[in-house]
Amino acid sequence: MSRYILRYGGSQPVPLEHLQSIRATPGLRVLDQSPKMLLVDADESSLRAQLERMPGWSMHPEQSYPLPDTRKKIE
Amino acid sequence: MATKKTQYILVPAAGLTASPQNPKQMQFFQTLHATALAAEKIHSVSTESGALPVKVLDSIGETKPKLIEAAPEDLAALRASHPSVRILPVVYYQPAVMRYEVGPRLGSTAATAKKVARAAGGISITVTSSQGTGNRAMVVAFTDFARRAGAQGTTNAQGRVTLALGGSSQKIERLYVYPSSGFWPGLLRNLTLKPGMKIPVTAIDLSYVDCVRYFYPGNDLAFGRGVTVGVIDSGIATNYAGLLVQGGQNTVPGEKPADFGDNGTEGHGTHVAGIIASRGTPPKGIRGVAPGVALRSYRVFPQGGNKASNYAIAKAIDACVADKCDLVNMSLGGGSPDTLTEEALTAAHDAGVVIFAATGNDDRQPVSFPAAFSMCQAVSAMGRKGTFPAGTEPNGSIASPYGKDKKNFVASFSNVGSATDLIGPGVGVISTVPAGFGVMSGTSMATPAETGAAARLLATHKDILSMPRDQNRAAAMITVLAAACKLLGFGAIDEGKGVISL
Repeated sequence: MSRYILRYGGSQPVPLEHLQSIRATPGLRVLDQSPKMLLVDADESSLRAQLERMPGWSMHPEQSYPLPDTRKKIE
Repeated sequence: MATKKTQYILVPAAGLTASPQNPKQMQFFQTLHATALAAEKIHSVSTESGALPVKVLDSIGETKPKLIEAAPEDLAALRASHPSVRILPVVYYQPAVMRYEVGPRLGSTAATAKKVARAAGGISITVTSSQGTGNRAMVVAFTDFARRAGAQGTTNAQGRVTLALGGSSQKIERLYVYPSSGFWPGLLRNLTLKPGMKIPVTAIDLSYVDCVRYFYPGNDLAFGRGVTVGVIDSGIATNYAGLLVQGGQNTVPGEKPADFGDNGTEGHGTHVAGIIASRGTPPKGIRGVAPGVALRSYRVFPQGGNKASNYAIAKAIDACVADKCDLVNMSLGGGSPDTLTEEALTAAHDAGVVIFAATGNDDRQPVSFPAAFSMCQAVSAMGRKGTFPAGTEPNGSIASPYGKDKKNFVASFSNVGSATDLIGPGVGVISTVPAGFGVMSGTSMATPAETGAAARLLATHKDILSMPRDQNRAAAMITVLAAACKLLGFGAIDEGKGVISL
């Protein structure tokens, strides 16, 4: 299981049936939600298989960006 | 000096087909298609700085992506003249063969030196100022700066710190002192550190003309009024007298959405916000570049944390669009490019929002993501001699190239490259921090200086601000900003179109 972000690209609100289908993916946990996105913990292959049946969604692995700092440090 | 021509792919801001709703974009793609079919294959693009010849090597279709050839230093002008077009590098893939190679393990020598120093004992020194021992400060002593070897520590309430350097004295190549607030960070070079030494730091005078105040002086409280600016960062101190935060959102999963104040780290977001919109008056406060803007805080770094997820960032960008921000400041970056952030940035552009992003602080490395993405205005950092006191840390950022005015220089830490759109003042910048006032350097500081300047300029263009919120509005804003830019003589790779001149 890994954390992924699902983003809906359509201009209309996310279809309710899509949300229900995503939530029904075996083993999937929804960690956070916004009007266009879901942060989920899920098995990649199960999730991909689910999204293939629903147009308008993209799937992205979670990654992080550092807080910038120009202070010099010992390495 | 012109550099070697490079191949790029031109695609529309959104999707892969030019939009009929954007006549300028559509006409540009059709013209380039015709050029690709012609014998000469050269199209002269009209830019602010004159005609720019672009060789069109191939076209997938009349409204489809084009393969072009251009000089890297010409990209900023091309982006400015056609803001609704993305310029992508040509990417080549190789077979995924993994090979082990012989080579030294990076950092092993420095790590060994640190262990030796730790085992050998410490040297206690005291950080002082004319106003007493000052605030807590991080002290970093480099015995070998190139290898980043040495020792570091934080002073106690009496200003004292013990550095694990070994022996009764130690030659130090560079000694940095970073006070948490109230003082300029210090830099001493080539000294012998001995127990009991007192290291002086300089208190901040809020009337001092730093580089931001030099390039953007005399800021009226009304400057920027009518423009909404979103700051995607570590949060903005919401109880700070000189900062008027009108709203925002914390997009970190698991935290309260309404907690968009400072996240309890170094006050990065508060410093950034102060450069744009601080409303104080020297000598008791500090004035930002556009104090009249409606300032909003979007916190993406967790409480006490220094890593933001792409989810939090994309959610913050979406929130900026929903909250009708006109400009967004992103003084962050450095991760691998990710398609999620690209999608959110493109959606923001299509909703009429202009995003400014820092090029990064990796000592002249290529522009980092997301600044390198075409839909961002990538801002590099410059400094100016005479806008920071002697013996302070900004002196360590002086490096060539220098501008036509030899006092101006591109900051040694700044990332640069063909993706650079603008340059801003970012060396030794006084601004707000949760505990008072502090000095920071970085492309993180240069970016809000340009965001603030953009807000000030756009506040005078009500016709553009009142346009429908779509990609034509974003393009119109970028065109106005590009026309106001002034080249300082560093060259396009370092400064793009230059600094926004008001």
